[in-house]
Amino acid sequence: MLANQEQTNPWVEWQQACVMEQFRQFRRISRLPFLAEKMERVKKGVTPSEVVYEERPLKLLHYPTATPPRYKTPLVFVFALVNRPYILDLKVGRSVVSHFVQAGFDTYLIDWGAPSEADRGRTMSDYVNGSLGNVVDFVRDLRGVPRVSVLGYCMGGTLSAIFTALHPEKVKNLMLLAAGIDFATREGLLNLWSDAKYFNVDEFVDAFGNCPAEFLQSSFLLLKPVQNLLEKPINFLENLDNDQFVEDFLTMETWLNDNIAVPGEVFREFVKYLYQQNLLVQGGLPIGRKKVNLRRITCPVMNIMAQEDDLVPCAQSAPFNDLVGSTDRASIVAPAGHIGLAIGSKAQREVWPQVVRWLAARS
Amino acid sequence: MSDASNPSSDQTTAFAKMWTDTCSKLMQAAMTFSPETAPPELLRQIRAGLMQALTHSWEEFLRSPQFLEASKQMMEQAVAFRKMSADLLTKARHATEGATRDDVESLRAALERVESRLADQMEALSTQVSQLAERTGQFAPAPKTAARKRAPAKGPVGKRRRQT
Repeated sequence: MLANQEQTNPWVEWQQACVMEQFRQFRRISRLPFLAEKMERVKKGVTPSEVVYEERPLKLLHYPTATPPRYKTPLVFVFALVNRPYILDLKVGRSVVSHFVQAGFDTYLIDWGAPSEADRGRTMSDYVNGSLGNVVDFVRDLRGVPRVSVLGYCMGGTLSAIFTALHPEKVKNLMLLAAGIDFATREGLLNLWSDAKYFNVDEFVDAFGNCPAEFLQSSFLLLKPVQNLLEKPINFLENLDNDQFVEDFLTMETWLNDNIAVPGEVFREFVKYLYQQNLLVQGGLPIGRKKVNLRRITCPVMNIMAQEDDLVPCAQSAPFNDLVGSTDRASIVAPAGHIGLAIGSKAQREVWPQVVRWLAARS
Repeated sequence: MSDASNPSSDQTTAFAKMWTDTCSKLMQAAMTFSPETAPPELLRQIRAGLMQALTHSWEEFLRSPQFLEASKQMMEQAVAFRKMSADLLTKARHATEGATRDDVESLRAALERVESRLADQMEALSTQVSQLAERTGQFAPAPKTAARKRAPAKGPVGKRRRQT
């Protein structure tokens, strides 16, 4: 009888819940001293790699395999300039790179490295026609092939599209992952904040030189302030006693806080020509002494977008397929965010095997 | 002078509105749950509702012209402060006969101009050579892009190999 009363009495239930919560809290707090040790164990990239080419501060990583590559055309990953590229090879079971390596592709990844103050004058042309061109030429020479496949992520996707438009003879297949192409949309907050009316990029670059990593980091945090500054820490505290959660959290946070500065001139050109003037889709983006015409891209293209992307909204990537001259065009819209598109479990399960099959059929 | 013409007043009003909206949404979220729900689940639901309300309010605020204006002002102040500190450092370094960032920048700009002029001349020469070769039919035309490429020298292949 008493037991029945206790079960149905909400007041007693609340009391029990509070006591249980206290115990859980003690258990969580007891895990705090081990956090530092766990943080030291966080790996930056899991697939074995070797540096095959260097051009300060750039490094080209190659992922060697025990058996010869199954496909003739090598694949080059081009990452953004704002973060480290190991997000593409974050953890076992969460690695985009490993999908391609295991499928038998000869895979390379560009690590742009952190620019110094001396790099503040480097332009998009230096990156696209210079460094990226050198990497592609190096891989072509190394493997004795006329063309390579390119996969660009985020800003790296934009650079890859520009490179392919300028050097179509060097790219066999182009894959873009959450890449900004048409910046006319005001759906994303970054598009709104970088409006010429509110942000004078010339004054900013003239004063600061390289765009500081802290500035980029705080802007990204502010895109979702409640999620990033409230929900995330609360979730972390609530799951301190869950080892798997803590490991995933620390791995992710290590990468998120591993921002690097963007060379001043690249930042100026990217903001002014793309975010403010949207020149890429108009065929007027000046790179070196040429203007980029996306119609010159005639190779097979795959455009992968994230439905809930707050950094590069779908509306910014989707027009790409209509702007190129290719006839072999495909796109995937995944129910994920900007990062989830690379490391999310659903993307790993559904998106990447599909992309690997697409590329295999064309390599 | 009316408040409507005062930007700082607009910003304060927008910020106050954001918080008022947030509080009312928080109250609504907290009141929509039944007390019969199990306590931990009820708390989770309330929290999710609160977070959603906060997210919505902040999203609105971050898109408002008032926020954009405030961030513009903040950026202008940061740039002005940076310039002021750079000027001070320049003066101090010049006083001690040291090289400043401006000196390095002007040197870099001068080198870039020289590089650009050389690239232009090489391109013109390349075009002339191509035209001559075409006329005489003796040489294959040189690639036009060779002079345009501004690329640092390639690193040594396989010289620095590292297993990670």
